[in-house]
Amino acid sequence: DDMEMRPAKIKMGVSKIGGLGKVEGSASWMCGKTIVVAEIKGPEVTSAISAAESRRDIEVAVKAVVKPTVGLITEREHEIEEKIVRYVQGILDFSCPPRTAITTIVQIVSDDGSLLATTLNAVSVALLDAGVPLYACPAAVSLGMEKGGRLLLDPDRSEEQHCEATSTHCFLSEGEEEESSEAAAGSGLFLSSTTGATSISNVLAGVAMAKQASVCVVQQMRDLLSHDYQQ
Amino acid sequence: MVATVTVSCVSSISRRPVVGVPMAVMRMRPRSLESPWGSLLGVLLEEVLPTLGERATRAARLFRHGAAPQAPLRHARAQTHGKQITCDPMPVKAAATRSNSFGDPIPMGMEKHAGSFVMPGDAVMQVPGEGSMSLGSGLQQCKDVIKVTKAGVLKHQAPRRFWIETRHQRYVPAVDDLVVGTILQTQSDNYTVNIGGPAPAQLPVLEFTGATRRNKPMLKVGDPVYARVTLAHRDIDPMVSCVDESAKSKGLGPLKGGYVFTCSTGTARSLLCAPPCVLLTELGKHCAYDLAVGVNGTIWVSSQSPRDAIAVKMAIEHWDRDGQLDDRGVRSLVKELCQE
Repeated sequence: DDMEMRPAKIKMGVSKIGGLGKVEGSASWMCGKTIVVAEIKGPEVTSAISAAESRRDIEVAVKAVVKPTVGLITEREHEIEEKIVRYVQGILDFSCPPRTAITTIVQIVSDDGSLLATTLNAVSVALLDAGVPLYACPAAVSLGMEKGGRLLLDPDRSEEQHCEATSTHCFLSEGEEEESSEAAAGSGLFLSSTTGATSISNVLAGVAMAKQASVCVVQQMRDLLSHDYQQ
Repeated sequence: MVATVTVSCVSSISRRPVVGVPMAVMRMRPRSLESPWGSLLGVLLEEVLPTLGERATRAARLFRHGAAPQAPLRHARAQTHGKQITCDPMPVKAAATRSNSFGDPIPMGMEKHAGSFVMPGDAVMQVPGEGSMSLGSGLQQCKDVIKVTKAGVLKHQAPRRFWIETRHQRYVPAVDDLVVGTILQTQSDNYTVNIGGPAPAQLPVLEFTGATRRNKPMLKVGDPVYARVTLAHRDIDPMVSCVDESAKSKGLGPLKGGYVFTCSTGTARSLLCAPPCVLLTELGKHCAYDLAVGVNGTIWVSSQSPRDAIAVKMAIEHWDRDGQLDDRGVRSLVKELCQE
C-alpha cells in the first residue's frame, strides 16, 4: 500500500475581502484538483437563538451550508452539510460559550474526488483560523479500496470510479503518543463514512492506514499555522 | 495536596489605553463638546497656536503623554498590571532533564516551552501536585493535564500564569478589559452594547461618570463607547461599565465623533504594547489624531481632518492584514498613506 497522498495546498484567511467582521475564519484546501473554500462565523448569538424560547439549552448550534460549483443545492450537498455539522459538534471543546451558533459556509470550487475529506479538512483549518475552542486537532483522510485489496489514499474521480468502496475517516490527534496496538489502531477515530461494499478486513486495514495518513495531514496544518504565527 | 486550578481569562498584553489623557483633555472642556470638530479645533487652537509649525511635536506630545507609564491600575488584578508587559515572547528555556521549562516533570514528548506554537489537543503540562495556577484563554484542564484549545503561541508569566496568545477576531470577554463597544439597543435601564464577543454586553444607564436619574446620557443606536468589562463568564451575558474607579480618568464613556473600525484582537493588543508601537509613533509624526483601542479589536479614531482619520485607519488595516512589518516597512507604509 503506497502512502503517497496527493499534494495538498492549504491557505488560511482567504476570505478577508469585504472587510473584517463578516467572516472570522476561512481556509481553502486544495487537494490535487479538488478545491474547497470554507468560512466560519461564530460562536455568536444569532437572532434565531435570541428569539428562541429555549434559551435554557446549553448547546452550541452548528449550521452548515454547502454550495456546489454550479447549480442549486441538492441532496448531495445536504449530505455533506449533515456530516459537517456532526464533525464540528464532535470536536468542539466544552469551554465554548453555550447558547451560541457557529455558522459554516462551504463553497466547492472544483470537485475531482475525495470531496468529503477535503471539505472537512478545510472546515478544520477554518475553525483553527477563527479561534473556536477545539478539543483536539482533527484531520480527515479519504480512502479508496480497490477490488484487489489495494488501498488508495486521496483518490481522484477516475480512481474512485474504479474502486469498489470509498471511505472518509476523521481522526482526532491527541498530543500524546500512544503505543500502536490492535485496540489503539482505531483510537481517535470519530467520524467515518463509507460508500460501497467491501469486506470487513479491508475496512479495518483502511482505517489503520488512514490513521497513519492523518498524522501527515495534522503535521501539514501545524506547519502552516506555526509559519503564519511566527512570522 | 489538592491542586486548585483557577481558570481566569487573562489578557496577555498590558491593557493601558494609549488614549487615556487625550480623552481627559477633551472632557475638561465640556462646553466645546457640541460638535466634535469644534472641540478638537478648540483644543488645537489653545494648544497649538503657540507652537504653530510644530504640529508633529504636538501630536507626539499628546501621544507620548498618553503613553507615559501611568500608575498601574490597582483595582485590577495586580499580577497583570503591576509589571510592564512587553510584546516579546518569553525566551525558550532548554530543558535539562525530562521536565519542561516550568520545572514540572512530564512524560517525554509532551514538553512545551513558553513561546512555542501549540495546536488544539496539545498537552502543555501536568496539573501540579500542589499550589495553584492561573489559566488564561485557550487553555483547559482535562483531568490531570492542561490542554490547549486554540491554535497560538503559549505564553507564561511567573510564577504560574499561562495563556495562549492568538490573533483571532472574536473577542472573549474578560473582567477589567477596556473595550470599545457600539450601542445595539437602548432600554429603560440598560444599553445593549456590541463588544464583539459571543454575546452582547449590558451597560447600565447609570454607570457613567456623573450620571444621575435625572441626568442620563442620551446615547443612540450605533454610538461608540469606551467601557470596562465588569462581569464576564462563559454562561451569562457580560456586563460593562463606563465608570472610572481610580483617581485618574481613563477616558471611559461615550466617544464623540470620530470613526470606528475593527481589526483582529492580536493587532489591537500589539497596538497597546508597553513601548509605544512604531506604527503609532510614525503616524503621530505626520498627523494629529486621537485613538481609542479596545482589546476587543474595535478601534475609534478621531482627527482634525477626515483625511488623517482615514489614513490612520488604513495604516492599521494594512498592518493587520500584512502581518508584522519591520520598522522600515512601517515608515514607508505611513509615508505612502499620508502623502496621498
